[in-house]
Amino acid sequence: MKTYLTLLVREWREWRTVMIIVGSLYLVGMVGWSVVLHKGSNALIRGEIHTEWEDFRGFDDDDDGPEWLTPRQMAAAGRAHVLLFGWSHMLRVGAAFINVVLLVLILFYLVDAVYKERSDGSTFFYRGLPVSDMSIISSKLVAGMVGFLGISFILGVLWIYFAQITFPGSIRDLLAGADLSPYQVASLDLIKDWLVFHCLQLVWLVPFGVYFLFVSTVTRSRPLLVGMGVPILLGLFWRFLIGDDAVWELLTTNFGAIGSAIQAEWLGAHGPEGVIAGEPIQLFGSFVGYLLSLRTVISLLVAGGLFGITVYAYRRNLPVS
Amino acid sequence: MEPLIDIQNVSKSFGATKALKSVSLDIEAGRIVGLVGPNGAGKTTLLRALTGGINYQGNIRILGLEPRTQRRKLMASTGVIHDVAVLPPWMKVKQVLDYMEGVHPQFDRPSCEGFLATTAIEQGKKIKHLSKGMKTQLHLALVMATETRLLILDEPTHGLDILFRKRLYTTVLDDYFDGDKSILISTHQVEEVEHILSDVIFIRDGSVLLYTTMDDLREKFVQLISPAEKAEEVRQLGPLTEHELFGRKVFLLKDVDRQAVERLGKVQVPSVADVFVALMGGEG
Repeated sequence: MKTYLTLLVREWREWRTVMIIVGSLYLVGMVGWSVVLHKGSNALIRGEIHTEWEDFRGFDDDDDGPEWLTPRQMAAAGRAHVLLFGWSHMLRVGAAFINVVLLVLILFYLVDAVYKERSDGSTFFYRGLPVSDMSIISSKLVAGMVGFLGISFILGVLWIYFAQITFPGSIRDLLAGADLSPYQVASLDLIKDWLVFHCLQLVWLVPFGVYFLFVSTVTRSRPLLVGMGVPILLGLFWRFLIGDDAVWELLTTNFGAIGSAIQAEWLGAHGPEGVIAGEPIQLFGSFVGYLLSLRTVISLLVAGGLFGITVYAYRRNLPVS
Repeated sequence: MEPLIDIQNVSKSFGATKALKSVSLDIEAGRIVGLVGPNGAGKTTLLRALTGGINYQGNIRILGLEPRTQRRKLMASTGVIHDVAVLPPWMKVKQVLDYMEGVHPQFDRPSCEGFLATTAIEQGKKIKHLSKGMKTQLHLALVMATETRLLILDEPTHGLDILFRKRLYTTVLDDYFDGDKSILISTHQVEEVEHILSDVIFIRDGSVLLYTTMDDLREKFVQLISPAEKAEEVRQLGPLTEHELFGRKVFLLKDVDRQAVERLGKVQVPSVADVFVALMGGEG
C-alpha cells in the first residue's frame, strides 16, 4: 500500500503544475463569465434591456381555470426567467468546459505517461527498484483516470457553489417583490448527480485510458498524434463506410448530458432523455443497470486485455526514436 | 553451492544485429567482477538482461531469481547504476529520496542524507540542474544507502572527471564491499578498475572471450621485454602481441614457463589493459 501511494504521489508531483495551471485558468474563466452575467443581470433588472415577456399581459396557466398575473408580476417573472436561463446556461457551459478539459488532460497525460520515461531513460531507474511493472502501469492509469476525474469533480462542485454564491440576490428580490417564490436549487442533488456521472464516466472511459497508455508504451515517436489519430480514423471509417456515428457518440454523448441535467435542475424542469431533475442520472436506464450491462463487461474486458498487452510492452522497454 | 549469477546460453538480437551470442557465465558470491569490452561489445545489453530491463533468449538466474518474471524480488536485493543519467530529471533530490523511501524497504534515508551532506548536492535542487558528476554521486548515494547483496555498475564513470572516478570506486570499496556482497562493473576503461577486481570478463561482439580470476590472469599471461636480437627466438613461442618500445621489443605471451623465458628478457606481469588489447587485437 505504501509503495502504491508513493507511486501515486510521484505521478501527482510530476503533473501537479499542469493541474494547477488548468485549475487556475478554469477559475479565472468562471469569474470572467460571472462578471459578464452580473453586468447583464443588473442591466436587465434596471430595465435597460427589454424582454419580450414584458409585452404579455398574462396567460392561461392550465385547464382548471384562468390564472392571471398582474402586469407587474408578469414583467418580474419574465425578467427573473431570463436571468435564471442565463445562470443555468452559465452552469451548462462551465460543465461542458470541465468535461472538455478533463478529456484533453487525460489524453495528454496518458499518452505521455510512459513515453516520457522511455525518452529520458528514467524507466531504467524505476525498473531498477522493487516495484512490479503492473503497479507502475496501473498507478499511471489510476492517476490519469481517477485523479483527473477527481479534479474535474472538485471543479464541478466549486462551479455549482460558485454559481449559488454569485446568484444575484436581486433576482430573489425581484420575484419576492412580485409575490412570486424563487425556485430553490437543490445543490446537494446537483452534486450527487455530478458524482454519479463521474463514476459512470470512469467506467466508460477506461478502455480509452488504457489505449492511450498502450500508445505511450509502444510508440517510437509522436504519441499524441498516434493516440488521437487512431480513434479519429476509426470514427471516420465508421462514419463513412458503415454509416454510423457510434465511435463519436461513445466519446461525446454524455459530455453534454451533465450540463443539460444541471440546467434542468436550475430551471426545475426535465432535462434530456434519462435525466430527471433532482434524481440520479439514468442515462442508460439506471446507473446500476449500466454497471451490470453487457456494455460494461465488454468495456472492462477490452480494458483488461489492453492493460495486459501494455504491461508486457512496458517490460520489453521498447526504444524511442 | 548455487552461483550468485548463473547465465546459460543467453542471446539477444536487435533487428539483424546480434548483441549477445549464447553467453554462458557463472559468478560466485563475494567477487568483484569486471565486465570489460569495447563500445558496442554487448556489455550494457548483458547488464540490462541481468536486471530484467530487456527481453532475451536463454536462462538467467540471479540470487536464484529469474530477472524477467521476478524482477521486483530481485531488485530488493540488487542495486544498479546505469551508464547514462537515468534519474528522473523533473524530480528534486528530496523527492527522489521520498520515492526511494516509499518503494524500497532496504533504503536507509539517514545514511543517504549523510552521504549527500559530504557533497555539494542540495536536496531542494532539481536533478536536471545537477552536473553529470553530481547525478552520479546522487545515484551512488541512493545505491550505497540501500542494503543489497549485489551491485551492478554499468559504465558508472562514463563522462566523469578523474576526481569523481577515483571517489566513486573508493566509495564502492569502502562503503559497500564487505566480502559477502558482490559487484559487477562494466567498463571499457579497464585500467581504472583492475586494482579492485577479483575476476575479469572480456566481451566482444556479443561473445565472451575470456573469463578468469585476476590471479589466473597474472599466471597465464607474461609480458616479456627483449632486446631486438632475441626477438626471433621469442616469436617462436607464439606471442599474442609484439610492439617496439625505446628500441626494445615488448611481447605478450600466454601459457609459457616464466623461468624458461627469463633468459630472453625482462619478465613482467602485464596489466589487464595489455591483455585486453592483445585479445581484442588478436581476434580482429
